Amino acid sequence: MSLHRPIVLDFLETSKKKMSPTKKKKMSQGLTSLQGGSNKVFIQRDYSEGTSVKFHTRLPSELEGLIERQVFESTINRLNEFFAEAEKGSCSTYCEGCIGCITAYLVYMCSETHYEKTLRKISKFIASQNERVYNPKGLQVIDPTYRGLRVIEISVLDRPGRT
Amino acid sequence: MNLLCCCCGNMAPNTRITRKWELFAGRNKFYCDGLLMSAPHTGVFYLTCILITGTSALFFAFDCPFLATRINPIIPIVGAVLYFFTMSSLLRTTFTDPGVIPRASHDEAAYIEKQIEVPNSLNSPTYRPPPRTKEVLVKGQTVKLKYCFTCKIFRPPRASHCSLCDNCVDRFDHHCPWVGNCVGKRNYRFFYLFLVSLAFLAVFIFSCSVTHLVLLMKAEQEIFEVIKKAPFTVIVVFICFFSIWSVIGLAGFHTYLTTSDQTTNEDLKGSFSSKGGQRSINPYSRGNICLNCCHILCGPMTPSLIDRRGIATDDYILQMQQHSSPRHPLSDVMSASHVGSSGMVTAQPVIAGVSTGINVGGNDIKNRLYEESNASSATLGASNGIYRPRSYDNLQNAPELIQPLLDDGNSNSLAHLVDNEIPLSQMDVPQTQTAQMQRQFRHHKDRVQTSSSDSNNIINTFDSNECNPDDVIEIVGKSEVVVAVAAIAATSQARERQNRSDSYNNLFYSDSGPANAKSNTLPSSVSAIESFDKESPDLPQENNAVNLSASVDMKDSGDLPEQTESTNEKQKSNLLKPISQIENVYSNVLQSGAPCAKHVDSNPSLHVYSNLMDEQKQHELTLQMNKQYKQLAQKNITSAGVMLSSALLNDDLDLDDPVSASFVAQENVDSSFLSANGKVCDSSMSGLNRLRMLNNTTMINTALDLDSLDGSSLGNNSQSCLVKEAPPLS
Repeated sequence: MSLHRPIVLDFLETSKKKMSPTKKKKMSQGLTSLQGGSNKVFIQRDYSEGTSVKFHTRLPSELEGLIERQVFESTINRLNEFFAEAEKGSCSTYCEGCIGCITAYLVYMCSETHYEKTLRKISKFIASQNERVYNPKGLQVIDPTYRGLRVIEISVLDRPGRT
Repeated sequence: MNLLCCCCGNMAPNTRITRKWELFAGRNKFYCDGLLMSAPHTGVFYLTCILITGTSALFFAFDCPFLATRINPIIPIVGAVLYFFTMSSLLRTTFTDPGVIPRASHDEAAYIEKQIEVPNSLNSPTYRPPPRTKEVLVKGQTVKLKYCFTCKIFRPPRASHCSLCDNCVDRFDHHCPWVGNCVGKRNYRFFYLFLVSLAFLAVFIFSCSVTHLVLLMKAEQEIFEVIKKAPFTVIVVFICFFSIWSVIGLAGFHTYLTTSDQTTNEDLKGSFSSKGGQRSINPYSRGNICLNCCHILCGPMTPSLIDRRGIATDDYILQMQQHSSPRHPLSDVMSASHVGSSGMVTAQPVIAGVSTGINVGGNDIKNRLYEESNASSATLGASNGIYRPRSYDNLQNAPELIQPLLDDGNSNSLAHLVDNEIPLSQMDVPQTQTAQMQRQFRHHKDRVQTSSSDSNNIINTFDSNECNPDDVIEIVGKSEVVVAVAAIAATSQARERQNRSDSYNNLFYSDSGPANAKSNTLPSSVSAIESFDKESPDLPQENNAVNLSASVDMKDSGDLPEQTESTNEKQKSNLLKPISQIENVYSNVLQSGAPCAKHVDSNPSLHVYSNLMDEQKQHELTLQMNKQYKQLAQKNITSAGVMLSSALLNDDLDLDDPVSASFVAQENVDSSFLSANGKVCDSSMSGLNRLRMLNNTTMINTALDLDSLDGSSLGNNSQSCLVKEAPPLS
């Protein structure tokens, strides 16, 4: 399986390249309209409380009608809570940092940090939310970790329904 | 690196996994399959290592045995612990991701563009660029977020773009050559610990060595005897004495910064100092010295955001490739070249034009294609000014350069639009028109015949082009070329940098994108008409820019002193003919439907050259005022020569570099220009002269261009038209 994987990737890549003009056409046709351009929506970071990771909870206009406001806001709020927990300076995290510092950060090679554990939780949470809430509505939330914690990417799938 | 992947993707199936660090857009170096990363230049870091290790080794070898026996055996142990701590934090600082913020994917960048787009009224002459800063409230304080043209994101607060690593770094402190990396959010604690431990180590070694000397002095009573007995101790004392001050000073400074939760960047800029009576408090501080220290030094550390070891999926590659746009044409070109020359003809009209021009085998065509694309990027780069810093951060600090910055911003902002427009225009042109156009394109002569209504100038131009390909091979050994190549070495560094910059990608797109060309057509031709209306009221205001430009030519050669924008227009239109035949730009022309497009479309990219042309033309005009047609032909040719020299500057291409790699080849065609040049107007100028002139004038002319870019500037026009014209044309 693992041997075959790269080849498959490669085929996909080339086929995508060939398909890209049509995709681009689709994108460019919708350029003038707000909805067009791309079927992805990006939730930006909210810096009102400093540089800690926090996302805007306002429902973007592109998603109106696709998902209930409360559902969306609760998801983002939950994510924000997770990130706040990850970045919170509690006693245990400081101890962790101190221990790492004393051991010249060799301890990080052996164990996961609190932050990494939380990120794992977040991706689990997003996966479950996708499965239960977003995919049935034709949406797909992408883990902000994959986007450098800059944005939450929500892609509007072409045909609504279970995937 | 990207090119490599691209090649692999096209040529042979990958037998190994491509990891994301291999596609990384910045300039960082990676080690151990992406486990470690550092800045591109780590020379000073090795010096640091050698200094610390060497001094410590001398100390351990010559001082420690004496001190351990005479004073306390614990001294070497303390020294060793300090040394290892220092070195480990140093290595940690150097090889840790400083907090690089990954660049936006293509879709995200497009989304941001759409979000910040300013509604422009349809008939306003100028295009209003979208704002490139965004203000947010951070704990009640207004903080300006700047848009990063390279990373295509609004930089988070406290982040800054490191021009050396070409990345946005979160909580950017500074780029430290001594540790060979940026110092940012993720490695600041290591850096601080390194400083502190190094300060301790230096003080420790210094005091121990001095103690050693003092003890020896007591025994010997004679200073020269002491130096003779322990020369290395004296060396260690000297090294420590001179390094100790800077290290302690730096450690103290960073202690202050840590306690107040500032970065060096913010401190130097005075972001939070009391200026003008309005004191802005650091909104990021936790208000407590201990809390600040704890959080910075021991707080939770964000994992690396760039996921270096992650496997690059096809989707990821696609997104990143679209982001760094100019490689996109390459992939088309390359796949086409694999198919063969016949395949190329059908694949893209551009390539068809080249292949008809140059009758060579498939392999040669491939090479030429490479060079052509490179030269096209070179053209664009030159239009942007060779000496322009690659990072826009630098520009943003200089108020007088804001205008060019904004203009660049425009072209950048439209990169995606243009990118999107390409296929649209290709597909939506009515079929009959397209067919006709393509036919015209493929056969220059045909086109010349069909556009027989054009003036003789144009025919001359085409003819001179036509004869070029035959001369390509002859010119190779000529001394001109040799001289030019010699000059390449000096400028290759600057060129490479310029080529590498992603920002130029956008320029390429905006310049060569068909949509842009389309849009560009109208306003520039209009402006040309307007400017020449006074002089020639009888000039018919047709949309046929060929006629227009021809007439403009005549006008202009008549009264050259009035070298206004319109002159440029004309020059460009002249210039364009040869260039557009080989460049991608041409495809636009076809789809845009109006022949005028080809004359004006790539104007912005040719600014520099057009200016050069002005000078040359002036010179020539003094010599021969009357012979307009002849002179025009010569102009075209000399312009080609200038282009060649600039193209030669970009000659040695860096295949690691996606940008340059994607355009590799107009150069041959350029050399064909040169050959024609060498034949037709050999006496006019030598290659060296041209090269020098290019170098001398590029800066000035670029500056002039920038000055003239207000209001009805070309760059602005091009974009304004893009926005306005794209819908009707499509």
